[in-house]
Amino acid sequence: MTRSLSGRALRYSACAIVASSALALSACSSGGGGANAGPKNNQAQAQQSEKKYSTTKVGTAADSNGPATPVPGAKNGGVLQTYEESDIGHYDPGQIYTANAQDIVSLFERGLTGYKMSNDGTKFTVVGDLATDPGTASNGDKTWTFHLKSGLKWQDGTPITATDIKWSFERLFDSGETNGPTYMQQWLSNTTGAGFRKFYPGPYKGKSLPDSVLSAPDNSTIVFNFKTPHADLPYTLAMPGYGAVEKAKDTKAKYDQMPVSDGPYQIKSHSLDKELVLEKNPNWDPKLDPIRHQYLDGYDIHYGHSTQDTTQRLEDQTGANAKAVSLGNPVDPNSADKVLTTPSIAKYTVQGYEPFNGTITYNMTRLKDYQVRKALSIAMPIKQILTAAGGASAGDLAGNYFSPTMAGWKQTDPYGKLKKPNGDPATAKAMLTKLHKTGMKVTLAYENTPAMQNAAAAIQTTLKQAGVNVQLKDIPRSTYFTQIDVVPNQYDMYMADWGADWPNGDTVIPPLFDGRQIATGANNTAHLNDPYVNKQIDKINAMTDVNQSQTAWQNLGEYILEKDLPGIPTYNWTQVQLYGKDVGGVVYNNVLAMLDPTRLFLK
Amino acid sequence: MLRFLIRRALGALVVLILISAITYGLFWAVPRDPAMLSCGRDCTASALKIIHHNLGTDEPIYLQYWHYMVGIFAGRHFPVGNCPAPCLGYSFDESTPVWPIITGRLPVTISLAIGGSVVFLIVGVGLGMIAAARRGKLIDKVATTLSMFMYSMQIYFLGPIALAILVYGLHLFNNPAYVPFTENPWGWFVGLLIPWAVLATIFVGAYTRMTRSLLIEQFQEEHVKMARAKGMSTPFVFFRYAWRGALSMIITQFGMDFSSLLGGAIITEYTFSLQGLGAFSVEATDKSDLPSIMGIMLFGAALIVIFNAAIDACYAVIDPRVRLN
Amino acid sequence: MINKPPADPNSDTGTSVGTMPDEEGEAQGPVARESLSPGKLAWRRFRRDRTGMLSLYIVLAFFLAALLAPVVSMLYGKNPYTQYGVNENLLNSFGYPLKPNGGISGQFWFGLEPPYGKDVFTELFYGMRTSIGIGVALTILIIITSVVLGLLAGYLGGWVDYVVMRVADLLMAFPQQLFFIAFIPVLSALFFSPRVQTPTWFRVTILIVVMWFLSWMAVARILRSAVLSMREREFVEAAKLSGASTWRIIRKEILPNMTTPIVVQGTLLLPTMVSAEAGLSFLGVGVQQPTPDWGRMFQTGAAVYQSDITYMVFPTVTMIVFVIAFNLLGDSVRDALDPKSAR
Repeated sequence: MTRSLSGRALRYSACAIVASSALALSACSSGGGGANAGPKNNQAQAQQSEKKYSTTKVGTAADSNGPATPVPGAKNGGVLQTYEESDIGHYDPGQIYTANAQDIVSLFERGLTGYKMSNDGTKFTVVGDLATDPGTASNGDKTWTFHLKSGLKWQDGTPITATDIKWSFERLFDSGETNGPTYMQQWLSNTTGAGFRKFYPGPYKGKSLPDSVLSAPDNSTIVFNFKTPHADLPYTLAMPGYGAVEKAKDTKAKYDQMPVSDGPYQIKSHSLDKELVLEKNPNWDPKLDPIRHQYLDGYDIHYGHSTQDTTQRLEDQTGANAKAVSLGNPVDPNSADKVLTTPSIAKYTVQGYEPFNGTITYNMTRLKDYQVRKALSIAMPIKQILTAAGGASAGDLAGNYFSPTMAGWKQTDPYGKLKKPNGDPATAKAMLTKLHKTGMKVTLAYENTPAMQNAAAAIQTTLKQAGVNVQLKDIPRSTYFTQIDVVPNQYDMYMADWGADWPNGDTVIPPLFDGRQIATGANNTAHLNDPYVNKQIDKINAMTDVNQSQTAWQNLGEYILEKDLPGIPTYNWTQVQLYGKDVGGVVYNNVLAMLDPTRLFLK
Repeated sequence: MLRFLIRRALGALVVLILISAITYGLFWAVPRDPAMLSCGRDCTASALKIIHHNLGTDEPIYLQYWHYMVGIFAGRHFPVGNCPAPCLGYSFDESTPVWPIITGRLPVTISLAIGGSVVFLIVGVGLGMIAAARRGKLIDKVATTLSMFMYSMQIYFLGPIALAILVYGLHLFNNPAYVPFTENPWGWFVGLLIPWAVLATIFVGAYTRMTRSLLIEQFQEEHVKMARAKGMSTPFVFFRYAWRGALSMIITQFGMDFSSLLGGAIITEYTFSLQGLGAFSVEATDKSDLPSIMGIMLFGAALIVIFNAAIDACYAVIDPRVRLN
Repeated sequence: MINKPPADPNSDTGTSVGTMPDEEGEAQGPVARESLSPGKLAWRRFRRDRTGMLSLYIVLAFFLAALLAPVVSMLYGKNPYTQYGVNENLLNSFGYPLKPNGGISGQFWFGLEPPYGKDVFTELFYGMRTSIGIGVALTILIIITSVVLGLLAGYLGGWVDYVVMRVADLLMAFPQQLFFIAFIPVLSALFFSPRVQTPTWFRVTILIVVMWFLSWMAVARILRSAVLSMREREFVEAAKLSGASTWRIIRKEILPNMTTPIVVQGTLLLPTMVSAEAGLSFLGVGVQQPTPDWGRMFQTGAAVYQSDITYMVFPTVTMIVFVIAFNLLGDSVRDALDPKSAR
């Protein structure tokens, strides 16, 4: 996935195919293996909060029963004020993909499965949310059956049926649904890219998906039939982009602004870009929800607050500011120094890893010579790139392509970047001189924000010392990703980042490095096409032992970094968040990469 | 009189049509594709085509413009949603028509403009009057220096400093926030006090200077001097003659300042996280949300044109000579 | 008559009262001829104005600073591009100077700029060079445009006047700041292949052209009305009767008498344009890294002031001094050139 405009997670990724069995998956735990295994926290970090890791596994039917485990010390009542950067714009589940949107809608939209988080935030279990369990696979992971819990109701009191669920997936094929994830559409239609739109035009003109693809044999059963195995389905369905929609109330564009709730809260009022007011949903039954709580009477979500604004408010900790949070805004990178080194403020921070790993990606169609890429990599000042983003608060320097949130993560550093994070232009210059490449012109595309401007200028300055003439091309934020996606394009390097949609190596290596996926709009922006890598990808995808495949992905990632070098890793993203001191139940949710919204209460 | 008004209204209409045409032309002459933005990562030519069709951007530019203009009066129907009149376009980014976004944000902007204007009119004009009346005295020097200092201030400097001191330092105020006047008049007042003060600062400086020199100039006019020579009391002369002469200029200037404030005080809204038109225009340009930018541009221009026309009309009522011009 | 001053994003919406009515519209007739030339007389009056002289010195100092930035940088031994903080390990892990007060030291007189520790002292000099340069260019462009259009419209009158004034009306109705932030980035991206970095001169040119496009109207109106009233004066009538050509009348009779409004408008315009450019840089549409820019220093300052307030002091104080000095200078120049004026 790549980021959204505001620098938050925007989960757009190509589909990742896993051929492991459901049984093996349920044993699959991923993550950094607890804080001990993680990299050393940066020296300036506060005493009070640590960058949090987590592990994820698929749960059982018993895990899927409500109510959710109570939060210690939780109290009922009160309305929480939250301040967010910008309106998520879309509320239709089918349009939800960014982290901010996923976080907020999880208060009032539910899907067949979901992530249940332990109270300390270190363990995630994929459980049945509307469904009784995380799904039953048959026919070699090609057929998946889900049963709805009985007694589920929409906010208007009508029961949630399998017809609604079927409808929720059918409508994703409509041409108006362009912002959400496309895994399910592609899997159900067995197509790639946007081919699913030709397969089926959506249900609004009266045509339904055939039962051979998706069927609702009775009121509470839903059956998915795929042409290929999809062992990852419980994870996929846990994406809020696959939330349920009430068929009878579906008004297309209007529904986008006023969805019908099946969660603990419902929308009371929404004024675009200003405020979203949530109140309790009387028809939500805590016994049927293993994930969410209803401690608060409501949420008052204010939009349009910059990170600078929220940081100031929450540092203040007096009056109304003590009773507020920002679900999504990190601490303003420019204030992180003050926040994390002042104990009285640092006390009210939580932090953790995000699934993102940043790279300077090389366009291998243009930079064909490995030795040149190596010289550029050795000169690259990765520490200054991190500093521009906010230094210690924004991440840890990376040695390879995997974030510590990934399964089987271990630190490697084949190019010695961690030892010389400011780059080694002298060595690079010597290499380039040997290649007769000094004075070469290289174009770097970057997203035009103050931070990225800084980083780009730093790269230009350092690479100049290595005898490389870097041409900076600023691209407006709104079109950055669509421009570097174009094949072929004119840039030699781009600043990019990638995060998995779920913490397995198969959501990183295949989308980024599969040579058969080079196309405009796809994510192999380095245009790496190494037959060995392609073969390995197929081989690992066919593995049934997840532990084995985790190691294999990690090894393949190392091979690519050492032998192909399609990009030099810069840093692994982390996030620091402040909260008001009177707010309880504050936990950083590694899956949403934001504060977990469903467990907050007022002290 | 009626003829004057009609002529003025027609003139305003022509200006607006020209502005819309220029803006529309400039936007769509630029080679960037708004459809790409809502196409997502897996964008293909066919997906792009669908979006173009949904946005109505698959037509030649003059037809698009024609539909746009017709839409303002008759409303439009896009495949993605309805856009009732007055339709200033459909924001594919927000998936709503632009008009409700603008009207939704207008109260914030209007509140900011009205409050700020009251502050700078009272303080600025007041200071200017005092300075003029006590010309050359200490108070004049203080007022002049102060106004010069204020005039040289920058909102993006003053705003954060005001917040740091008044809100986070001394805790005299809560964070500035917009509360609808109809819901809670006191909250509205308190919430906007700091933004008003900051917004007004630069205007105060300018209005003090302007009022002062206008009045002094008036004092030197023959009829004012005459009145004084006749032995009329100073306050009487001040208000009856000098003030009257200065007023028209102040009103003209105020009309322009106010109308452009209604178009959105960009830096102030940005600094205080107020969700008015100014903040929206920054957001929209950030996202390259062309229909929204186009909508605000036209709306802002309309405000300026209408306000200026209204002020002209007022003059025409007050002073018949204007009509001949 | 409408008295609309030049664009001033500093005032937030792009319009504000900047011009004083007494320097506007009023025809400045030929100064009574005594033994001294009017210029010398004015200079003599100006010399007696202590505030005026002081502001003049300050303004000259700013221009010198801008002009001599490379010399300063050479003498001081640093430049605004090198990342001293990174190279010499003077920053903490967040990119802020380790030393207190923004890293001010004997070596770095004004401290270091977060996050890479560029030298603030030289950055300020070079930044003023960029911003004042843009301001001067804009002022000259606007004055030339206004003189030409003002003369054409004012002297020729008729349909020329009508067209010029209607175009001015039209452009005045554009929401200025929105126009700037919407178009400057777009235009800056044009014309250059994606392989080549958009040169700074091109960005600056675009900035100047777009700002000029929406900023000339106010001054043009003022100069037009100056011409209008001059057209009726005896000395112009006399020249006409003596059979002088239009061009000659404009050149010999009208232009010399326009000096006062032109100089006054120019001095008031320049600081407005400089702070306008700063405002645009603050909003992120000005000059880009790594080119030093006064306005962008405000953007940085506003971002980092919570952790490093010192950084903000230098650009802000200099900007305030600059604007005040220029405005005082403008007042004094007007007083000197036009002793009858109200002040």
